[in-house]
Amino acid sequence: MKKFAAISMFGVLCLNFVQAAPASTEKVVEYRKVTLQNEFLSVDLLPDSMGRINQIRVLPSNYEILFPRHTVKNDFGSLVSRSKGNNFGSCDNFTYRDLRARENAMQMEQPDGRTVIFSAKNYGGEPVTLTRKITLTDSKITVTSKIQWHDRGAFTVTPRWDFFLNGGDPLPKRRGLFIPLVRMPDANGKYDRLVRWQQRTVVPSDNFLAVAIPPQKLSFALIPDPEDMGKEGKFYTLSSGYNSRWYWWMAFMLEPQKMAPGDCREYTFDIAVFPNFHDLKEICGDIAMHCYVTRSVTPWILGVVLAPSTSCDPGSVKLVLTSEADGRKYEKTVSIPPLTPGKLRNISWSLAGIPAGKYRVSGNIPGKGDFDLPEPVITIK
Amino acid sequence: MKNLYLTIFLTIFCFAAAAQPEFEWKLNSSAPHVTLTIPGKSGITVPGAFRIYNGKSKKFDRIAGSVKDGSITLAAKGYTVTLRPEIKGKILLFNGAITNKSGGELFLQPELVFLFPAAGENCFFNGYETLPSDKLPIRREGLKGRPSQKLAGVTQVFPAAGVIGNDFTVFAGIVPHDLVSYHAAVLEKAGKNRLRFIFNQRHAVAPGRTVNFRMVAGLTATAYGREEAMIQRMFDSFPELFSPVVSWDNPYIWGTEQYLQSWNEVPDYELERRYHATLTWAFVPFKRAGDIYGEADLWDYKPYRPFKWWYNTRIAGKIFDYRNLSNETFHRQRREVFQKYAGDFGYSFYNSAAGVWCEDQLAVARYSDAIVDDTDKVQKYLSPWCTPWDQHVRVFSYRTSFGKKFREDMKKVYDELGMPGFAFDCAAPGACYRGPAAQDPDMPGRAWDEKGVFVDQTVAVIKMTDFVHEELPGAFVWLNGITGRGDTTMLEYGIFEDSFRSVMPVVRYNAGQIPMQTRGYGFNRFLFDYLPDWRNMTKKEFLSEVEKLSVHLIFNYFQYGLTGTYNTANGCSLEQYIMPELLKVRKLGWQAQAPVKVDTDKMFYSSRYGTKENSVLFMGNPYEESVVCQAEVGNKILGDADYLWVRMMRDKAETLNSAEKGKTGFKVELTSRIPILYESVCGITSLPQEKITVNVSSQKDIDRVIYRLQFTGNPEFTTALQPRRIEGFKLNSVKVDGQNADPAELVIGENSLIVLEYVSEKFAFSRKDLYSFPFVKEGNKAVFEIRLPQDANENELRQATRLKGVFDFLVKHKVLDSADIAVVKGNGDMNKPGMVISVGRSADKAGVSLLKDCWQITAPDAASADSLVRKFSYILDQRFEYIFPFEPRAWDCLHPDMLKYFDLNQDRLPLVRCFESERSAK
Repeated sequence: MKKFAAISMFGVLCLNFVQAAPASTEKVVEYRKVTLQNEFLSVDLLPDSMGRINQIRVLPSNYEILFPRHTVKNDFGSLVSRSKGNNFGSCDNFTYRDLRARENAMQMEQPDGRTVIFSAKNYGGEPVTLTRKITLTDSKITVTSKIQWHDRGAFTVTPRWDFFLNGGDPLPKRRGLFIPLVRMPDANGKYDRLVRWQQRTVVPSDNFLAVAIPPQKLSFALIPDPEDMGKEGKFYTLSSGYNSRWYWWMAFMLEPQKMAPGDCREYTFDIAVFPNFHDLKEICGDIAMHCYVTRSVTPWILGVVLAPSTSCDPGSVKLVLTSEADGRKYEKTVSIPPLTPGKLRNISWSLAGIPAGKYRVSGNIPGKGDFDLPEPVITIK
Repeated sequence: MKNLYLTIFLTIFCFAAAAQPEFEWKLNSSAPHVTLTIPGKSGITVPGAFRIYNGKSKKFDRIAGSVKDGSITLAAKGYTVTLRPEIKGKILLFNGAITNKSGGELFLQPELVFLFPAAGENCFFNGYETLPSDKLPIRREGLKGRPSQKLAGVTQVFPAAGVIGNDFTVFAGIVPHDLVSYHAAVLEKAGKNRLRFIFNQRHAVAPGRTVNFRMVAGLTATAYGREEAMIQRMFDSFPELFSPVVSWDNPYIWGTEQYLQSWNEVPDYELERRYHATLTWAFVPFKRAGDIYGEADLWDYKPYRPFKWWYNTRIAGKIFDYRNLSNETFHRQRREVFQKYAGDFGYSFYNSAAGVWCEDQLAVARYSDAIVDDTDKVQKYLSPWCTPWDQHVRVFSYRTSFGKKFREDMKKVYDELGMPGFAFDCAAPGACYRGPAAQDPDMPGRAWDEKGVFVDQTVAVIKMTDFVHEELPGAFVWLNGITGRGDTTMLEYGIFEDSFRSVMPVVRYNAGQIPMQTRGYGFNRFLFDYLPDWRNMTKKEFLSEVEKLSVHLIFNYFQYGLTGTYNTANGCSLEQYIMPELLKVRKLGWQAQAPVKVDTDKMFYSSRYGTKENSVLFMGNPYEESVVCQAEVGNKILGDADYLWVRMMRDKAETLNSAEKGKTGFKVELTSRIPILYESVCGITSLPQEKITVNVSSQKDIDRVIYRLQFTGNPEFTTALQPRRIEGFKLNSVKVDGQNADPAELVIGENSLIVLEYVSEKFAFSRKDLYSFPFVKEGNKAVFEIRLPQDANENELRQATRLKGVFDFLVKHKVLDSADIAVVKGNGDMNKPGMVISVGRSADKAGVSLLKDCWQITAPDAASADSLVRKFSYILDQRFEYIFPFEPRAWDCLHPDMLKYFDLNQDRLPLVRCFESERSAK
């Protein structure tokens, strides 16, 4: 039964007539935020919007790396509300169904000051139970997600993450602001090479996708676990605009995996910020690096610059020069002092005694892994 | 030579009278200006001017002239202009002509300029959207409202713009569908307290040629909306330009369309009928765009991509696989498909998008003069598009080689296939044709810009719609878009899509009164984002949300005169239930201004259909709480009389009216989340001075409708009474206090009772007869005979099949357990209930009557039999009600994941019988 609210009737003249107005009420959505913060970064999370990572702020400059989520909600007379916005903010997404517009609330735990754990059954309306742990360590954010498929049948699930980086100024000032770096297979298939951005889909063969932001003197990287990427994992990046502002879209898709009901899958990746470093050529673990040769002195000196995203104890770096001609290797292990984010460490190796020829630089950092610098190829005369 | 200007004073004095403008005008014979005034109460004065901008000198030309016999003759260097102002409906119409007396092409821009007093807050309707006037200037240039969306299809601006003040609106524009390739509206500051409003149009005039042009202007009270008042004045002034060109009673244009269901599948008449479908978008009935006939010499060609199987390969059960289809087989199969289904399902031949696109190789080889190179930010090429194997190029189809051949092809397919209409996709403005035909001095609609002469695509589309109406009589034009004279139009957006909000209501303003359908994604894609937590909801919670969305759809349907498709109807009982009313009011013609106010903020939605005594008002309360409120209707917006109202119900209703000059008040029960309709019962032309009270009641049955008007406490007065027109009924009698009376001159005494009685033109039986007829025996089994003459003709057999189909459907869908319905020739078993069908025999009119236990169904010809049996089938639906459940009919219904999760396939939302007093009370 419909209930009527009786209104006293005193006649037409004393009534305040209202004209029907089929217009919606529009307001910007104010998301609840949870913030993780240390001396390097401040990370805003949106527990009511899929637990999205909404902003990564570099401290102390307060530079905001991401283009934050912006949503306008229209209410149409209590029947329906429409949300419209940029669908930005980063969370677990799936290729088979785009969740960027979804706004599920997540359950949240904060076991300590640097960790937040989100969880949801039917995450994003999908037959997935998800637990996501986000940990802030120095200038690195580690994300570990565990999904369990619980639909009635098996399904191939391809997790993906999308990041939308603040493009900064309007178009005329944009040139040179970003130097996105991606790894692509080299023509000879032996080494990767770094290429400047071209506006198209790219499929690098290795384990990170990075962008350097010279005006801010920092680099930003997504570093998934190579095992999660597998053979079919993909990186994508693209530039575009929203509300007359530019943004960079950076995304990766993990290897598709068929999941039977009850199956679980866990994956981890790092979001690393490298303060004061904008010449990134390679990432070893969570240490960004590039190398150079000083030719103004004799013998020439190979220099390697290390930019950590987390603090490291003293250790060593093994450097390897590999001859392109015959594959011969020349190695040197160099000690390194403690590493701190924002402080670059320069290590060097005198090239005295190395035969003439072209050499590639690679190596290993104990506890971090191997590295393989695609540039430069060093020519010793 | 002095700088000539034409001054226009428009003075407002009262709300609009229905048949005249709210202002008067007078041409001053001593000077070349016009004064528009109404003697009496003061209002607003808006001075205006006419001027011409010269696109070559980039200055306003100095023009001088004189007034003679109501016309203004103006002269400038190299040309003359005549302007003949006249009142048309509620606007001032300037009939203009420019004659080029120079040796070169003229680039001219006639303008109307008004100075509007900037008191209070003002808005500017620029032809596309209504904007506040705080950031000036505002310029809207060209025919596209915004940068292209899709193919710029629905972004065409309304052909008038206006400044909207608190009390008054001044507006100007062109006559709808005039062949004008460029017009613009500008609002800018003109001093401290005035706004300058300019509306212009551009014409390129060749030496020695005369170009006719028209401009409109008006001043109206700002009431019942913002731009709605000026839009309504345009509707009221040019009703013929906002109406279907084919007959208003065309059997196809007023129904629904159900996407491609009757095209890609073998059509099912009974299924389509239940969705009220009368239109089918006969999509791509050709191999190659630009060759819609399928010429033998164009048949074999190498496409851009290999021919392949795609969703349109199967048409009405026949395979059109162009990898191996011969030209002869194509023609034979296409003829068979159209001959078999076109008439019954409203097949609308998809003609390469109104002749806008042609397969690229064909265009280059044969119609290169027609290719549109300057596409002004809309696409020049589409690849792929309607045929996935081709690349298509934009072409211009008027006065070009392509246009000539295309018209020949249109005639050929029409003659050969006999379809009831044409589907015009991409009916849109936006591309600038500058080819050889545009340089032809006699090409209409030639405009200019910094690149030279061009003709907008609009001109070709308008001419193509005109071609259909003029050369292919009886064929309707179904637009996807709003350019040209369409008879019905499709909005290819769903109500839940953002695009819908961005183009409404301007699309409806352009469409005027013609029927409109929406075709979108339904709930499917929207629901995942709208209810992201749906898997954590109970079935009840989920359906409660779907029900609200369904009401939102229904309210928008009534708000804008739209119908939807199966993808939102299935499972949504109310949407299926309200369709008869929705279609009925839509056929009265959607109107921009709904002159109703209520003393509550719960009426979020309102709209109006029809005019004068044939009006219907829709009100919608989307909130959870129902309210009772007082409504006030501004009668003068509707027509010349004052109108009495009653709630529009299927069976009976009663409404207490309080009427005085210019307005009628009544109490409204704004029930939560159901559509509320009020119908005007009649107009009273001469109300007494004092307010009168009239209790209006309605009693409706299948065979008759009775309205009772009980006057209370009124003095005796004499008036004409304008009874409502009811489709399918004729007014049988008007009685005052029991005595027959002439409605043209009624004497209404104190406390008189007026009874208007209408009888059905087709059905001579009551609802009680319908419900008591023994269709069904025990066990819910339908048992009766359909009896035909011994020499039954094709039409009788056809109607027998259809009526049997009604019951077969009911059995299939478990409304009936079984059916034993024999179609017999001759007398049959007279002990059984029966239906006797007779078509094309002695009867001179169609009708259904009941003789004991036998329906007598009689029609003089095939067409009237089709119409009669379809209407009778809808009456049968009242007895045997069926609501489609959520089970998908095709794509884009509720998503299979949701159907499966909540086990919804056979479920329906609760049915609220909002248009029935008695059954809803039960």
